Amino acid sequence: MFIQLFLKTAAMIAGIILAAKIIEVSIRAFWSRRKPGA
Amino acid sequence: MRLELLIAVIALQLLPILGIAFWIRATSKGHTEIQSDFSLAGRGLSMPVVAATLALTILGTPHIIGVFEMSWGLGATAIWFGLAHVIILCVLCLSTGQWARRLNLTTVPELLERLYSRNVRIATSCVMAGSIFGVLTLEAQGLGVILSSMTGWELKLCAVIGGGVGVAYIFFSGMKGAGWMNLVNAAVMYIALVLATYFLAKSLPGGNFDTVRAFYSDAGNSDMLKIFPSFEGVVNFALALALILVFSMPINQVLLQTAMSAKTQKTVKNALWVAAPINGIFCVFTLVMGLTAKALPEFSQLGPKLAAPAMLVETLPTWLTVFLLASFTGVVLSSFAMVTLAPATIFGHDIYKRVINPAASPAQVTRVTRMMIVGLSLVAVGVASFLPPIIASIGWLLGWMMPIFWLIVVGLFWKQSARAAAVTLAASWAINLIWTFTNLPIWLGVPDMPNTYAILAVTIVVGTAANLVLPGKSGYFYSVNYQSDAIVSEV
Repeated sequence: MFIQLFLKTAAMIAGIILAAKIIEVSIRAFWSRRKPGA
Repeated sequence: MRLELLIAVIALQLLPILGIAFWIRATSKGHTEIQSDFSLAGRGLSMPVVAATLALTILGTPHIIGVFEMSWGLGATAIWFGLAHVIILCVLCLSTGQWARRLNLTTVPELLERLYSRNVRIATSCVMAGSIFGVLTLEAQGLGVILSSMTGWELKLCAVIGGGVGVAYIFFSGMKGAGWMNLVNAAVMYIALVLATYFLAKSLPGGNFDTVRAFYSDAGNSDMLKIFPSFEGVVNFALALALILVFSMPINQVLLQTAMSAKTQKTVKNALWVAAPINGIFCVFTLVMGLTAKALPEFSQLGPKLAAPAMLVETLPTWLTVFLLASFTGVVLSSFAMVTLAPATIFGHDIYKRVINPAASPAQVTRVTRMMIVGLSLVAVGVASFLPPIIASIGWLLGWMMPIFWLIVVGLFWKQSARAAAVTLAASWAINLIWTFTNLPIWLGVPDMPNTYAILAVTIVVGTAANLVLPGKSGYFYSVNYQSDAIVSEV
């Protein structure tokens, strides 16, 4: 039970970080086209 | 047990605090202390220290006692409490934290003056410092509760002892000392958690958690072991929690002060990969302890508040119980220290230096900041000792900061209008008060709707309308000021 919860949570954390990174890169790419430096 | 605990707290907390303070004094001999040394560690914190500090600042009593209790009713869904904090760290490390470091800020209200006006700065200083002080009283109370549940001592005495150690945590060496202490506490905390979970499993039949799983499955409650909530759970718990935390914490001085203290903007960005796991995984351990306590009849009869602490005290070897409880104390102390430093810095920088004594020297500002640390802690401990449990007020306290997040994003990227900012702040803060202290939610037919949704809706609607109607400059990142400012640090 502990190992399962641990692995699932670790996977969720990795997923959240990756999703955040993808959103960040997308916004940065969109924004740098509009106005460099922001 | 009480004496052992006291010795463990002293050995694991007070001695390292004093040792680190001595080391910092010794290594900075001959160097005149300026304000940014005390409040921002001279903007020189390395990635591991920034990561540990960010992770532990938002890891406090709710992650321990709160998750013990939440696991009782929500089961494994309570893990979303930890995941919501991972989202906060993502927002902070990938956006607000980097902006704060890039702009060389000392406080969040300072940015609001740069974007809007002096009055907006003063208003947000007062509200943010007040709101953080409210959280400080919760932390002081939590510190008292956790020490009291471990030792059996009176809550008032525990709050005073905890407050005293908490002041020492930050008073002697400021941000730098607290940062290094957080790194020590993160390591101690995980060693204690791994050992406690291992010994807990060994004490169960079969030497593992299979009997706990069987307890929930046999009773038809296998949903308690699932981490994905139902739709109602999403709306009433996960989403409301995520919204209030994500729209208030990433612009909170408590967290941003660590980002401002980082060596570079890149340090903040890289810290995410360490801070998020340190913070997020913690809840797995406390969740399993809570679920196990409920599955054991001799402890479940004690109820959600006492079952898990009682189980740990009864089941684990004494040395490990003492080690675990001392590490839990360290976890709460780290939050207490940062929550004390933030309003003290705001007072020193935004009220004392900006309004009361503009000619103040950096040394004077540091002295005022130190005095505020002691003063605020004393008042918080007093309030915590005499008031009933006030954890329910956390949503109300954090609600005050939601419009500030909006103002920062809008001012940086869209429009800088001081009048629109004032209107947005006034409307959002008014709805927080009205929603909390009048029958408006009942009249609207949504008595259970958290204030989060109301504040967010008013902030977005009023904020957008005001910026469309009222005049202002373009967003700061597009302004000539930003392009030409020497404040932009090369990273």
